[in-house]
Amino acid sequence: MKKDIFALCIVIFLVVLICTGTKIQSVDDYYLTHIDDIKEDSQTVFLTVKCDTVLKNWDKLDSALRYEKYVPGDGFILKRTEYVLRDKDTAYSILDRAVRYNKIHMECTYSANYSSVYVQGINQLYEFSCGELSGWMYMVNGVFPNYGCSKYYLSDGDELVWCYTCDLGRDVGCDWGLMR
Amino acid sequence: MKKRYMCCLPAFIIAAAVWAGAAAVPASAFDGTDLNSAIAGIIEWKKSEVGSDAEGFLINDKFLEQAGTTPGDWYPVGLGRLGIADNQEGYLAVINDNVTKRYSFPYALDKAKATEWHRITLSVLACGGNPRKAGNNGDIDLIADGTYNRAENGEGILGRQGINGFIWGLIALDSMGYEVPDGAYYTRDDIILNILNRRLGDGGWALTGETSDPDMTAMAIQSLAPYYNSEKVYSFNAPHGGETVEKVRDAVDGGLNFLSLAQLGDGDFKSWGTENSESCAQTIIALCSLGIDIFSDERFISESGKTVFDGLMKYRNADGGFLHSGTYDSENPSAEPGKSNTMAGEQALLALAAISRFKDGQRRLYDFRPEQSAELKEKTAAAESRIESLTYSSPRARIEEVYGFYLSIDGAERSYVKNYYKLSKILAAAGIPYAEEKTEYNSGDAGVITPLEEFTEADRSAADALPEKLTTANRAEVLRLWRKLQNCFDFDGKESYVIKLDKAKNEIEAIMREIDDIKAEIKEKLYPFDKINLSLRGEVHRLCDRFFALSEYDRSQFEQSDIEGLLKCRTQIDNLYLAVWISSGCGVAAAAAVVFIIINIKRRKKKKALKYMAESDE
Repeated sequence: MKKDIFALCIVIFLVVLICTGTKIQSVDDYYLTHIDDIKEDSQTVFLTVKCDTVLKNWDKLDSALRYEKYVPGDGFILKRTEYVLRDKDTAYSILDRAVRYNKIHMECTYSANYSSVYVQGINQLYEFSCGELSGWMYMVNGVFPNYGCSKYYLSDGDELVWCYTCDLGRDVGCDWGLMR
Repeated sequence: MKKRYMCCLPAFIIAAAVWAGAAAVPASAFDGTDLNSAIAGIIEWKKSEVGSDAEGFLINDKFLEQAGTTPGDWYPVGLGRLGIADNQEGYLAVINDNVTKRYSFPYALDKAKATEWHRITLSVLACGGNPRKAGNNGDIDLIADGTYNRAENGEGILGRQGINGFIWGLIALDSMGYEVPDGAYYTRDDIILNILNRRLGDGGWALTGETSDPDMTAMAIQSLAPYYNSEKVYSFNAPHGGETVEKVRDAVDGGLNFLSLAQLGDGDFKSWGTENSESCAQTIIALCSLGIDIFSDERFISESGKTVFDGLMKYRNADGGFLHSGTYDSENPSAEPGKSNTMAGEQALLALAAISRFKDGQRRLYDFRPEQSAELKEKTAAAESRIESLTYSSPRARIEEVYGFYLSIDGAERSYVKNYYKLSKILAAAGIPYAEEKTEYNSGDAGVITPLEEFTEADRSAADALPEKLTTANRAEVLRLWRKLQNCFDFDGKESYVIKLDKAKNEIEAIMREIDDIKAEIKEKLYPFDKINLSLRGEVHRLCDRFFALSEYDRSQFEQSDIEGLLKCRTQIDNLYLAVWISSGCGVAAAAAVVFIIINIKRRKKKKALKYMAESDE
């Protein structure tokens, strides 16, 4: 009788184990596979990728790109999304992670040697795709930093926006301090 | 600053940003501001940045990973124009291979940016190569493709990126005085007109807007400098100035006036609201291209007595490199303030090369034709002194004689007569008509002859020393040797070297393809990790095996997020796999326990039944 109860306990335990699908993971494995999960104490930033300026400059846009899949009707290639901020994350590394997770095309010239990254195109929209003053810029908390995107380190809660300009920044609110 | 880097425009300025903000270094932090030590300082700094020692090459294998990009092409231009021997043949080998590769894709070098062709043209010339016969097979004409034939669907696209396309197109065309053939999409005058008609009301040029920018103005002047002595009149309807009739000289003078007024007290300039070194560098190149002495021309000495050279030197860093700007951004102090900057350094090097060439009586920075003969230089100097001796009251016959002497100089060389503008005014005042201008341009492949070379003992031992298992780290060296073998005298055993290097080149290409393939598969198949299941296990492990089969150097060509994605995925799948085994194990154990219980219960029942039977018997 005792044996039965003991065996029954084992069965219940094993069934529970299978049903809950407990994963056997080392701490390192757990960390690696959950690095981008947002938890309560995670530091995070918000990323938006938009090209709404193109909608107002449709006539200037390369005709091969005049499709919804390149320029979404609402102008958002990536709507505001929260991402975990890792140590040493830059305006570039967050974009890189986001386009990978969302399978968005991105091309940049990357230089491991000089740690300077220049984003040429996102979602097939390249510099000069929409006129001679067009290209990608980034803005952090409403300010356009005068730094390479791979050198701008982000902090908790930053609002990062990658935006496509058709007028060298002026149409997205960058005035370049042109006042002499 | 930025604009010159033409190559990258808006986003570049903006997003890309190759320059870091920097804390101002007090002028007293260094001394010895003379030209040569400044040049040596930049080279030394850049060498240390690419991990080369003082005796090593600046254009080393690491540097060559950048061949064909903005940070990779301008240093070779500077070195070449200073006549500093470095690994120029290595650069040519790699750039030609890169050009061939990029021509195998649609739009060749770039769809929108003509300046990609122009920058590579200049760097190839500076290293002794021939841009009309670029690529591994010498079948690519960077001049035609990058300038006068640059059209798409019957439309000209030289200016798709704006004014930079025209400015640098003209500089590329004039780098060897290339002729524009009949029937080409653009004529020289078309290109010149496109620069002239973009001039702004304040005299200079800008990428956009109504206010001129020193960098763009300086670059426009650089491109127009060879036409400064031309009397050709252009009439056009300018977007900013309405109906305009002018000569190139009028436009350049307007630009010079703008620069003179824009110069700040320290001798430097502000561009896009920021005082910076690159504006000084571009202005120096512009002034030198016109034969203006930056150390004595009053227009370019500030009220406090500072020259543009002083302005540039203000940004020299203690390590020999140059800063972009003295502005420190307190909002992002982590962005390496006070750190010498690649772009600032390369532009400073070009500016110092321009001064050095000016002082040595060499051709302008971007005029790559063979240097002028001593005879021609003497004649130019004689023309200058004769012009200097004229006044408005000189006898007509004397004026005509001096003009005749000026005209006896070859049309393609007259732009080096620095004071012709004075004669021009005197001719006009005396009512002497200007002679018809005819310049003989270079219709061939620029007279660049590539003589056969010796595949030296050193080259042979370099080829012998190549490791059995090649990596992309060997690419530059393999390409250098491979290219040299294509163009060398015959020697004993050449055949075996040809076979060896062909094989090596193919192997390295295969590794590069493998790297690209693995990267693409990680991106396409693994991200975003939401469909990771056991059916992918084999594939993920194969991908991992392929990745780890690469050499350590080749693995360093991956981005952190590639590697992370791969390892994360493998871990996830392995954990899943382990979990399945454990679950199965648990299942089997549970089943066994259930069987045990059932048997036990049955046995007990049997026992009970036996006991009951025994009791009832009693």
